Amino acid sequence: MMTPHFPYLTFIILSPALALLAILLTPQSKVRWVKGFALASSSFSLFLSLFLAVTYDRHQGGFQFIETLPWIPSLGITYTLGIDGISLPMLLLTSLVTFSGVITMWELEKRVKEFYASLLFLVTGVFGVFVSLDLFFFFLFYEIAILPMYLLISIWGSTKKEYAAMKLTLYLLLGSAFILTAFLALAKVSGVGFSFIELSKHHFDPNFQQIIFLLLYIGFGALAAVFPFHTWSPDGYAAAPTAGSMLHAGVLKKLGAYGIIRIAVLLLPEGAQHWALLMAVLAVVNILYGAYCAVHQKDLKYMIGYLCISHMGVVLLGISTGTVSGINGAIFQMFAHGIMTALFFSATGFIYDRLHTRMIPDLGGLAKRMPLAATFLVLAALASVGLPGTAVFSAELLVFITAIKVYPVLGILAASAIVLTAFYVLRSLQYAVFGPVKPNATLVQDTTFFLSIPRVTLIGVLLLFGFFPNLLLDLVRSTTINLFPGF
Amino acid sequence: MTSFLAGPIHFELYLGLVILYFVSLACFKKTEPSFIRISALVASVLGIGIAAANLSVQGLFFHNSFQADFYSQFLKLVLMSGFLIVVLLSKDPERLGMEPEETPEYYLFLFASLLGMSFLVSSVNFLLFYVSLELASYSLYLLVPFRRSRPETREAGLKYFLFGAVSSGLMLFGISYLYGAFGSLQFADIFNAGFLSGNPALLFLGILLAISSLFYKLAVAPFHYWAPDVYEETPPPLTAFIATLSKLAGIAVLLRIFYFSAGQWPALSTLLILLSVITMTWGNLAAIRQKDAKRMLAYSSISQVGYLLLGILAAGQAGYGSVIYYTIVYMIMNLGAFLVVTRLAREGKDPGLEEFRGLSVRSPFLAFLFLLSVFSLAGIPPLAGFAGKWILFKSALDAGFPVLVVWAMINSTISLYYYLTFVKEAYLKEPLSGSHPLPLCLSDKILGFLIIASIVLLGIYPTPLYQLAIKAVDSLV
Repeated sequence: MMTPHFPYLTFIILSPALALLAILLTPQSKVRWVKGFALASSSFSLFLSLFLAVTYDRHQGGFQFIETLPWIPSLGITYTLGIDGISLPMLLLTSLVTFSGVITMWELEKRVKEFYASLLFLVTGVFGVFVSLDLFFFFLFYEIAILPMYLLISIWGSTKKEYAAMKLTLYLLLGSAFILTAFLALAKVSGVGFSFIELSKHHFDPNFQQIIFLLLYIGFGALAAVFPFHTWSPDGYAAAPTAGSMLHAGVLKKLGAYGIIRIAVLLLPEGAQHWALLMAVLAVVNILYGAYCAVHQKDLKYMIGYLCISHMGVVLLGISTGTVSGINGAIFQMFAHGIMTALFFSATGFIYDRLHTRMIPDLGGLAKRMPLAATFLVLAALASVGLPGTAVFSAELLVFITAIKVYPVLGILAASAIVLTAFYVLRSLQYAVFGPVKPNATLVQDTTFFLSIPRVTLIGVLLLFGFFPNLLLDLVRSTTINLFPGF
Repeated sequence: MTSFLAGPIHFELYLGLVILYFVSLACFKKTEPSFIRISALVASVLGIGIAAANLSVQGLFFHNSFQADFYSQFLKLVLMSGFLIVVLLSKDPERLGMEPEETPEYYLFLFASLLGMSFLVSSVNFLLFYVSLELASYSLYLLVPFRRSRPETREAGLKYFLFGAVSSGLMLFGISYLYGAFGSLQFADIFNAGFLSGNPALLFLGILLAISSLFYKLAVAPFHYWAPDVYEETPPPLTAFIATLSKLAGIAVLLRIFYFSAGQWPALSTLLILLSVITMTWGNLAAIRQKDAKRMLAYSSISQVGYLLLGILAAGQAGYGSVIYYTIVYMIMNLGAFLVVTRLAREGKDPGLEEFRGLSVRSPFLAFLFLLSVFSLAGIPPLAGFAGKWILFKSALDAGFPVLVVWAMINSTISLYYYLTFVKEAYLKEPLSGSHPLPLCLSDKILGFLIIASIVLLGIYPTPLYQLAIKAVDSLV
């Protein structure tokens, strides 16, 4: 079956894939070409996803730009792509983070070709997951997205890199064992194959829903760092190279939450209802535990890693409310947190590259030594604790208001934890940035104009959606309002 | 009965001629090894042509004990293609630790074993099954201790032979049991009579004994103990032959036998569940600690057979189709890994973990080929092993074995650990001091490229091969 319109979504997947191919064929010595291909492809993806976000029909909602092509008919597998208000923000997020990640790593000298090849392979997988409407392709891209991280961490990483890489990979692949089983079971029980659109029309037996939902929640939860499957995450982020952390924390983790919303909640609504309280409790544990660990970290990257667990808790809390505004908040938080974490890792990575330390006590007087880099770090920290005016604030507010309505005690507990974390995090950073300059500190070059581009872009996006949250929320709402009519 | 010259056994006749040719070469002893190698290559390429030309041949032969159908002819083509790769791997016998003057015997026995396998995939009768299995095995018993320079090799060869002979004895005992009870040696008749007689216990015992030898060949745990030693001690191309082609042939005939039980036999299912769980778990756990590449691949191939048993358990068109698909894919990706192992061998010493160190610097192409092959074995998308596992596990889940599927998936995650150990050496470590770049000849590059291309293409678009597999299974009736 031919698609009537231009296959935008196929091109979204192809853009990094073709650049990957070009990079593989480029000789090792032509480093500039490699970087050029990566930048060109990420700019093109960014352009495409902006274009899609603008042309998406918000009044109509639902899946648009659908492409279908029979793939393995006898097994019910069809190549189906499509996007809606849930996946579009994720596409935007991915292309923004990739774009800034590519520039952030511009100074890389070690095995450049392999680095950008792995990075683009990962991005291909992420785009693929967000646009796939067939479970076979969803899973295929999902695993593609997970694996390159092994190479990224173990080759270009730091601190305990081999251990962290192996731990992360095995954890996540173990999670996908559950996902695959759940997918196969969904296709068997419904008898309509792997198409998401067909599956969503099928009503599954409540008992079946409960079991499969749990499988999916464990599987995707491992990637979304749901407590107690989160332990890979701080180790992994601390060890990963800057762009690796940016993409993994900013985007890949969202794949887990996206999977929970897209597959688990939407296909198995009764399963979701059955486990809602458990999800909410786990989410609050995530928030509290992540925050508690974050304030005790001396290593900046570990601190961000734990903050990330805490913030993912907010996303999961939004999902567990099972209401339109809760889900909207969760999706908004996924987007905002992705941008914010990318900014945070990008700012930290730069400082680490220059000073070769990211221990908070050693950074003393950063504001005097590298004013611009320090500014980025402070802005990132402010955004991460939910400063009003940033997108994170609007998103968290939306989630907490909904959560307090649905689960008053849990909601208040979570919201107060966030406020306390903000206090501690800011206090420790204040020392690092504005404290006295260490006597043995050397003079280092500050952020150059070119390297500022990604950070400025990310900050701009955070502020834009902080002041105009409806730009994004309208988009999300156009889809969710029809999907959760009961609430 | 059809005449010898126009019939379903063209391919086997051709292999017989090739064997005669190598017998005569072996008698002369004076022939240049390179000439023998080229003869083997030409014979393999011709063999592929003949197998392809006979793809649609059908018919019975040898008093209905030999059946040519699309299933057998298609698998013969696959076997022959895999065989060509094994011949391509077998260059530089000295480097692989073999005696150059024994080259004719090497190819002679390889072709003899191939002939046995090609009879095996066509056999529908226990007598032919026994004879062809022995032909395939005895050639290997002779080949395994070929590297006489090492005492361990003799030990492995003796182990392989002794246990193999015992399992053959058991098999004959089982067959005699079946014949005594049901008065026939045809697979179909025995199963029909067995189910009708209301005495499935007798049938079960007979079948179990008869196929125990097959389980031995496939290295299904607990019949697997020979595999690691034999894999470790044989020259790499021969290991590749044992690991891929002989498994394919064994699986093929196993499907033929089980086809008649059609998965509606609880005792057999229970047995297969047990064997499958033990095999995949044991294989994977034991592989974790291996430092020798071929030993690691031995345990990995044990665990792969464990996955395959899932598809056999699922039965039916979907189950058997997925088994055929996965076996072919398994052959391709394993041959890819063995190509790397073979080229890393030097002075008769097979590569261990150390030889992989810094491979990505010494030969980026080989490193990449190895990476793709083992990732595909672990079932990572978008590679062939992923599509294969998806199809295989789907058939098992549809047949009602969800827990087994979860277990198999967890196992394939474990398997990634030991594959990554080798990949890690290749990509993360600096090469040993004194090691130099590994140049590759053109034929290796082409072969490697073809393997990479098929691993990727079969992963992204498995449909054509899967349809062929389904068509093959449909022709089993």
